[in-house]
Amino acid sequence: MNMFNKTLSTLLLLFIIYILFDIGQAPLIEGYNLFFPYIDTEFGKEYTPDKFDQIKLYDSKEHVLLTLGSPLYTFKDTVNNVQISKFTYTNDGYFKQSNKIIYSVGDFAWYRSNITFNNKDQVIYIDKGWSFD
Amino acid sequence: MQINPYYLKFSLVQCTITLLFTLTTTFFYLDALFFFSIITIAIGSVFISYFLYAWNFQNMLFYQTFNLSIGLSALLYFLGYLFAVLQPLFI
Repeated sequence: MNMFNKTLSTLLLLFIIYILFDIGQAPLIEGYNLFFPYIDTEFGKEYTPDKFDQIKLYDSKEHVLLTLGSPLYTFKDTVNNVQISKFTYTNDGYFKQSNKIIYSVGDFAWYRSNITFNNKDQVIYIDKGWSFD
Repeated sequence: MQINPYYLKFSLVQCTITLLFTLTTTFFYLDALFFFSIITIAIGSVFISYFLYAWNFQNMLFYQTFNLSIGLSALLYFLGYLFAVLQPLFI
């Protein structure tokens, strides 16, 4: 009985070591990486989060382009005829794109940075923050 | 028998560290994540306690081994977290 207990408990211990180690990684799926926060964020060429914080409401499009450079993506609303445009400076999925190695957790939270302009090319909305998707 | 008082301290400190780091991963559903982590660590500690008891670790009774096994379970969970968060450094 004693030998049975020892064998069974050892097998169960090995199993639970694997499970605990594996589940310990689970909160980081789409989660915030405390040591490398921007690890999964693709930046525009001249973009930095500090520069992005300098942009204020009603700044001109020229000022935004001078400060942050070209955006990663540009969106123009042509369907609703409201003539607003949006600059996107960051994108998700950089970690997987930049590495061919398959990591145990390959998708972390990313930092969102969008600027919306009105028809006079003034900043009317600044969207920034962490996205857990 | 006398149980080493450091086992309980180790478990408390390790659980606190593990939960604090785990809760930095998101701003949403913190309560669910908290309970998920607690339950995982608790289930793990049962298995570890069984191992310690079966191998007569310091002749402790089954329930006495929980002083240590909860901390060891939290440590394993925390090592998984650390591995995932630091994996770009390893490869």
